[in-house]
Amino acid sequence: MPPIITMEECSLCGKCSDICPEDVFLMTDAGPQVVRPDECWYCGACVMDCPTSSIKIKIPLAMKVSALRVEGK
Amino acid sequence: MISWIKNREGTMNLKFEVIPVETDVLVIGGGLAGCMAAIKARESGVNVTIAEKSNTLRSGCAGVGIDHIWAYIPPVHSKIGWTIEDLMEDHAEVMAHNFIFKDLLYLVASSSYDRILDLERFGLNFRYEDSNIPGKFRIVNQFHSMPSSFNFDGRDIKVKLTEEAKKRRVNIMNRTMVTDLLFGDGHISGALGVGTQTGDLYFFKAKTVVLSTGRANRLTRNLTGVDFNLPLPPHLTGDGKAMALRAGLEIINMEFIESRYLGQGVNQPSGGAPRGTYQPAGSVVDANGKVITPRTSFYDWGNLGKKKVDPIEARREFAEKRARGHFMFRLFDMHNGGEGPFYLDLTNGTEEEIKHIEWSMSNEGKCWLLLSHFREEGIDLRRDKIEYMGASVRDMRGPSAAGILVNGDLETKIKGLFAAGDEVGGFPWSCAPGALTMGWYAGDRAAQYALKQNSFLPVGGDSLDSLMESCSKMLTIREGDHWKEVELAVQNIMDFYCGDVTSGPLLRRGIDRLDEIKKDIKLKAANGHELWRCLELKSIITNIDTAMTASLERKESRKYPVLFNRVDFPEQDDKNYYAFLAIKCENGKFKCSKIFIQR
Repeated sequence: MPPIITMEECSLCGKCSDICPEDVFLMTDAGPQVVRPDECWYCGACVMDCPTSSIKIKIPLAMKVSALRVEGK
Repeated sequence: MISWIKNREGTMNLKFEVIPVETDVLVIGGGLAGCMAAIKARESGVNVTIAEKSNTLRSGCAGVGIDHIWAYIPPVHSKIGWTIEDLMEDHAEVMAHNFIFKDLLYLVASSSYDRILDLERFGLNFRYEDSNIPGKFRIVNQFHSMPSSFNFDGRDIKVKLTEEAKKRRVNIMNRTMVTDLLFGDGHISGALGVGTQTGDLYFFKAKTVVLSTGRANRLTRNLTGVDFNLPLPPHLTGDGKAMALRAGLEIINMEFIESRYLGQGVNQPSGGAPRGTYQPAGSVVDANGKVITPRTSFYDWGNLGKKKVDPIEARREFAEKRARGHFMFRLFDMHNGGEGPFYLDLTNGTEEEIKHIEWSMSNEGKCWLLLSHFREEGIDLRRDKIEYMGASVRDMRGPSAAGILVNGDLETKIKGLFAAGDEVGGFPWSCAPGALTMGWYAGDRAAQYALKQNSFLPVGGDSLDSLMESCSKMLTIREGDHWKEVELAVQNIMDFYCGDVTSGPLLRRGIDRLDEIKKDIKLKAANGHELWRCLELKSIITNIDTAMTASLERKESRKYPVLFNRVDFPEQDDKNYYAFLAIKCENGKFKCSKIFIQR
C-alpha cells in the first residue's frame, strides 16, 4: 500500500509528514513512518516534495489503468 | 496535548489543552479562497489567522496543482469581439441553466483576469514563448463558446500562495479544524477548533470570519473500492456548510449530488478528452475505433483581430453541443444500456499536441500521478487508448454549487461572517476562478468590517464545554464505533436511498434510516488523528441529512447541466421548481424554502 519510503535514502527532514494532506505519516525518532496508508488519496504530494526523492507511490491493483494497447506501432 | 489527570475520587479524567487565539480576521480553510482572502485582508493592516485542517502547502482541491483557470481576458477577447456580458450569458445559460446568482457571476467574471495577474506576480508562469496568442498565453476551449481557460504551470500554486501569506505575516495554523461558529445578537464573535493531530482545543476570538472550507466530499462510496481514492481531497468534508447549518444559516443546492462518470483508475477523469482541461484534446471511441465524441475544434488564433465573432450564434452552437450532453454523461447512459467499452483516443495527435497534454497533466491535480503510472506501465498516449470506467464517485462537484446563501458582498445573515469559493452556494463551475476572486473580495470585505470593530464581541455560551464533553466522550468511551465503520454505514444509506435516480418513498426511508443509525452511532477515537476523523464524520452526516431532505423537497426532474432525477416526478416543473431550494435548521428541524430564479 502507498506510499513507500526507501529509508536508506531518507534525510529524516520530516517534510512528508509535515505536508501530507491526509496525515498518513507519523514522524518518529527513526524517521517518517507510513502509519495510515489507507487514508492516502494518491495526490503524490510526498513524492513531489521529498528533497531526496526517496518516496514512491504504489498504485493498488484495483486502481490500475486499463489501456487498449497497440503493439509494435 | 491531551493528558490524563486523577480527580478527587481517584478516577482518571481527560484534560484538554485549551489554546486561546485572538485575531481580527479568522479565515477557516486555507485552500485557494482562504489563502487569497488572508493575503488581501492583510493589505488593510488587520491581523489575520488561517485555520487549516491539513497544511496550506498542499491542501484543498488545488493542493497538488491546477493547470487551468477560466477568465474573461480583455487583451484577447476584446479582439474577438466577445464581451464580458457574452461570457456571463454563456456561463449562466449553458453551464448553469440559470441556477446562478448573477451578481456573483459578475464578480468572478470581471475580476478573474486581475487575480491571474496577481498569481503571475506571485511567481506562477502563464506565458510561453511558443504561443501565438496575445500576451503569450495558452488559452483553450472548455467552459464557454470562446476559449477562456488559461493553461498554466500551476502545480505549486498552493506553495506560492502560502509563501505570499507568510511574507505578509498571516498567522497560519495548520492541522487545526474549526468545528463551531461563535456568535451572538446576529454578529460573529469567534469559533472553536480542534488540533487534528494533538486533540488540543482552540478558542478563537475574531472580529470577523471568512468561511472557505470548500466542497463536501466523502458522501458516497467510490467505484475502485479504494476508499480515499477520490477525484478531490477526502479532507474536504463540507465542514463550513455543516457549521453554517448548525448556526441557523440557509444553505442551498444540497440536492445536486452528481456522479463523476467514467473516471480512470487513479480517479482523475477525462485526461485529454474533448473539452477536458488538457488540450489539444483527443476523441472518445468505441472498441472498433468508431468516434463517439470528436475532438474539440479550436479557435483559429491566426484570425485574431481580423474577424469578429457573432456571440449569439457562437452561444447557440455551444448550447446545442452541450444539450447533447457532456461526453461523460452520454457514455454513462450508453454503458448502462450495455454498450462499450469506450476509450480515450489520442493516437492521431501530433507530437506537439501529446507533449502539451503531458505538460498539462503534470500540472493538474492527481493527473501527474496518472501520467507517471502510464509511464511505469509502458502506456503511451501516442499509441495506446485509455479505457473509461463506470461512475467513479458521487459528490458535490462543479455543477452542484451547494453552499451557504450569501449576499452580493459574500456576507451571510450573521453579520461579519463571510463565505468564499466552493463554500458559497449558487455558482456552478465557480472552481478556481471563483475561489481566487471570491476569496480576494471576501478578504477585503472582512478586513473593512474588522477595521470598524473597536473591540472583540463578548463570547459567551457553553459551546466550549459542549465541544470538550463531546471530544472527551469519543476519546474515553470503552466500546464504540471506529470512524471508518460509521462512514461506511452512512455512505451506504446515501448510495442506496439517494442515488442518481431516486424517489419520495426511497428518500423518506433513507431519512428514517439515517435517524435510526444516528441514535446508534457511538464514535470512538484512540488519538488526536482519529478525533479529527470523528469530527469530520459529524459534518458528513449533516451533509447527507440535508442532501436527502432537499432531494425529497424537489419534486421534479432536471436534465444536464443541473441533473436531478426523481422517478415519481419525471418532468421538469419550472412553475414550481425553477428555484434554489434553501434549507435551514430551526429548533432541531429542517425547514425548506424556495428562492425563485429571475428570468
